[in-house]
Amino acid sequence: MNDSKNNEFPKLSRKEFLVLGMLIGRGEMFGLEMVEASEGELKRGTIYVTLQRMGDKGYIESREEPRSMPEIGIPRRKYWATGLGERVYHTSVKAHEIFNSDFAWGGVN
Amino acid sequence: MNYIEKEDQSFKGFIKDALTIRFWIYMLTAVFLILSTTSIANSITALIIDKTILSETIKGIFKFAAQIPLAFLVGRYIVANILRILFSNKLLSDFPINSKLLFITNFLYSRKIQKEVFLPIAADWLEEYFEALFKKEIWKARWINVRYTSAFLAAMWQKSPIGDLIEFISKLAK
Repeated sequence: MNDSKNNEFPKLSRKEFLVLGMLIGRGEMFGLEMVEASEGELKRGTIYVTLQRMGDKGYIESREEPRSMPEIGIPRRKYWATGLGERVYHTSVKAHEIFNSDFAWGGVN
Repeated sequence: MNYIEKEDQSFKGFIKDALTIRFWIYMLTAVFLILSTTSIANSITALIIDKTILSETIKGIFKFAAQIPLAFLVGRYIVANILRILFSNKLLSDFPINSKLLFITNFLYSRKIQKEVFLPIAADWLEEYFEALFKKEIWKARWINVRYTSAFLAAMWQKSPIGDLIEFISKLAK
């Protein structure tokens, strides 16, 4: 656990933060559901690139969701946050809280 | 039927078309697309030529000469394709509509990227597209085609080596 890679403070982009927040708050979701729930913050063209990068970092996992019988077509993917993803998200929330608190400003002054 | 009668009928057909709302939507969309693509082409040309060490007169001549074919090429292909997607009735019966794009991405990108990026976009595309068709919202279905084509191209750009390079540089800059 002492190697530098494991101790590196995880950085979340705005989109990654938003995606993790939704997956932790609402459970498993499809990409399109996230786009619709984000009210314009996530785009159809970028959501899956973001999700793929988050998957590579180990923040989320996904599986192909088979379509129910009358439906045909390409199977959709369902995403959920991993333990690491939840940990990174909560750490990020705490870091934001501390950064915005009087404690952080007091430390500077 | 002789040639003059044929010409007369085609002229009548044109007048008949000109009185429909569809014709004017088509014309307005075409004018808007031509103007916007031409201005994009002009800006790109100006951006490139302004960086060269040439006199203002020669720059002006180059800009004029370069803008005509560039604007024509951009307008010819982009406008024609968008109008085709928007107005062609044939496309509405084609299944699946994104097969050509999937074929290109299958050829250019790894299987992992195809599975995790492009196939989910295609799945959403078909989902929204057939939902709109099922509700008989033909214009919405056409708009979905335009929107997902641009989404697909955006994803292709992001996953391209140039997109990766830009992301790498922006990370370094941070």
